[in-house]
Amino acid sequence: MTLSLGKVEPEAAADLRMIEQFLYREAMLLDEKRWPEWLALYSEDCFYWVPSVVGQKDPVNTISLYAEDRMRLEMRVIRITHPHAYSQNFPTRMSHVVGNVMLDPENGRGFDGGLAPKADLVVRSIVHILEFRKEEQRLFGGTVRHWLRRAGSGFSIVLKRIDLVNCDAPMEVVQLFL
Amino acid sequence: MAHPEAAAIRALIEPDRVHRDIYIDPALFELELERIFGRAWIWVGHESQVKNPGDYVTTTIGRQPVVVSRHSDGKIHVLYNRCGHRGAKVVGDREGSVKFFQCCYHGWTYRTDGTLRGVPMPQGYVGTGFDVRDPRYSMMKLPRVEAYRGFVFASLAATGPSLADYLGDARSSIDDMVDRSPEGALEVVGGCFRVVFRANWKIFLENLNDTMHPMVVHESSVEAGKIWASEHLPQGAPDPLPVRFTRNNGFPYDFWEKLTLKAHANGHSFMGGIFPPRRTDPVYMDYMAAMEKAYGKERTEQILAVDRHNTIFYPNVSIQSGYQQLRHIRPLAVDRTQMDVYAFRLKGAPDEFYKHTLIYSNVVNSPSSIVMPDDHEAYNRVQEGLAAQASPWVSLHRDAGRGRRGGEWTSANGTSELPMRNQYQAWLGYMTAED
Repeated sequence: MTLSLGKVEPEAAADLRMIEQFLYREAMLLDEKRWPEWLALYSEDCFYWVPSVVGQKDPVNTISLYAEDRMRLEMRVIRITHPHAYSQNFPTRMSHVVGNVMLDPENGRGFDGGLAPKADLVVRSIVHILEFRKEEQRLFGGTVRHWLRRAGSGFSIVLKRIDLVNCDAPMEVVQLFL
Repeated sequence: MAHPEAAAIRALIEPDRVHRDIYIDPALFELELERIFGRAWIWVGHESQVKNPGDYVTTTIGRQPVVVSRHSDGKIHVLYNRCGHRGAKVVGDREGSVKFFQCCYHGWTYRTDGTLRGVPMPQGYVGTGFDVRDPRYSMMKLPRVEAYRGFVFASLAATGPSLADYLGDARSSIDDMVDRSPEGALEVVGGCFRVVFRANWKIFLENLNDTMHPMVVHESSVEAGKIWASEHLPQGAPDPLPVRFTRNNGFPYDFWEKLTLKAHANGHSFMGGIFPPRRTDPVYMDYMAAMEKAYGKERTEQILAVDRHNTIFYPNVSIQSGYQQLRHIRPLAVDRTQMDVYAFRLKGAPDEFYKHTLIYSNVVNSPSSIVMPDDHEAYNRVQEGLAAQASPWVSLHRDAGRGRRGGEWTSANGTSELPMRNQYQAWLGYMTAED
C-alpha cells in the first residue's frame, strides 16, 4: 500500500492511527527508560540524527549533536545504565509529548541527509521534551521525522531526524535520547 | 573595585598547591578577565572562517564582544563589536558576509576594517566636536592581531610579547595539525558545538592534560566500548572508531605513566598521543597516498611520526591535532564556562577522511557526547565541593619537583601534575605583572 502525499485516504487514516500509536509508544519507552524495547524499534541499518544547525544538509560535512548508527545507540544504552556513570548518579528524567502527527508532506525529501533510508513512509511530528536532573528542568522541542519500514504487523525505524528549535544554542550536556 | 595586592595574589599559589579562592571568588574572576584575558594572546578564530572579503565571525575575549572580519584588501581585522555612536553592538549574527557593517540603531555604517563609512544627516555634526575621521568613533580595532598558520590570535593589550614569542615551541603542535594536510592548510567547515558547564574555566584547562582521571571518570563509557566490542566483534578485530575513542580511556595506569608530558614557561603544555597514530582502514590508506604524493615518503613519515593528544595554549584554546579538534574556552562567570568546539578539515585529504574527524567530534566533544558528560560531572562537582571550607588548599603534588628542564620545555612522566602547576605559574605571571 502506498500513502499519497498530504492526502489521507480512508485506508491511510487507519494506518495513521497505527503510526500515532507507534510514536506514542516510542515516547513511552524513552520516558520509562525501557532501553532494550526502545532499541528493538530500530532497524539494524538505522540512523539517529540530531543536526546542530538549522536546515542541516547532511551528517558527514557538518557536526551533529547526535549522528548515531546502531552501534553507537547500543553503546549509549550500556553507558547510561552503567552503575558508574557518574553523570547519571542523579538520573535524568524525561517526559515526551508527541503531537501534530502527519504523513510528511515532503515525504522526507531534502531531509534524509543523503542517507537514502530504505523506508516505506515518512512521518512528521512535533515533540516537546521536559528534562530534569538535579536542580534544573530544561525544555527541548522541535520537528521530528521518522522514516519507517513496515515490519510484520508494525513498523521499524530506519531513520529518525530531530530538528531542535535550539539546535545551535550553547547548552549543557544532553545524556539521554530525544 | 579594589584589587588585591600582588602579595595577596602570590599567597594563593604555592609550588605544589593552590588556594580554592582562585576557583570560587568572583572578584578574582573579574581580575582574571582584566589581567589574563585582557593581556594574553587569545585565539579568536581561524582564517578559513573568513575566507572572502566581507566575511566575519563574532566571539568574545573575556566579556569583550569582538568581530573578526576580512577586509577588501584581504587583511583580517579584529574589532570591538561596538558602535562608535551610542555603543550598540553592531554585528548581531554569529557569522556572515557583508559589504559593510550597519548599526541597527541609528544606521551608522562601518567598513570591514572598522573605519566609519558614513552617518545619516552628517550636516548635524558640522561645528561640533565630532570628526568622522576620528578613530574613536569607528569600530575600534584591537591593539594587536597576529596569525600563525591560519590560527588568528588577538590581544586587548597594546604591549606584550609577539605571538611567536608567546607560542614559543608550542607552535610545533599547530605545525603538527597543519602539516597533516596534504595542502598544508586547514579549514573549519562544519559548524560549532557550544557546550556549557557549571565550573570555573581553569578546572577544564587542568583536565586537558590530566591523565589520572580517564580510567575513573570515564569508566561508564570505557565499559560501553568494551562490552559492545566483546558482544559484537571477533577476537582481535580492530576497534571501530567509537569503540577506540571510548575504551582507550580505560588503559591501565602504566600506559598513562609512560606518556610524555611537556610544559612550557608561558603556561602551554601537551601530552603524548593515546590513540594508535596510524590506522589501517582504506580511508586512511587513501589519505596516506595523498600525503605521499604531496610530500614524498620520507617527509610524510616525519609528519605522521608526531604523536600528541591535547595541546593547551594558555589560557584559552586547546587542539587535538590527530583528529583535528579545537576547543575554545570562554569564561562566562566564576562558576560557568562555555567551550566552543570546531572540527577542521585537512585540505587535500580525501572527503571520507573528514568523517573520522566528525566521529571524534560526536563521540568526544558534542554536548551529547558519550564521554564528556562524566567529565562535566567531575568539573561541576569540583566547583560544588570547593564551597566547603574544609581546607583552603587544592593539591597538585603529584610528582612535584621531578620535572626535567630542557630548552623551552619542562618534561615529566605522564601522570605528573606538572601541567597544572605550570598553568598556575603562568597565572601568577599575568595576575601580578605591572601594567
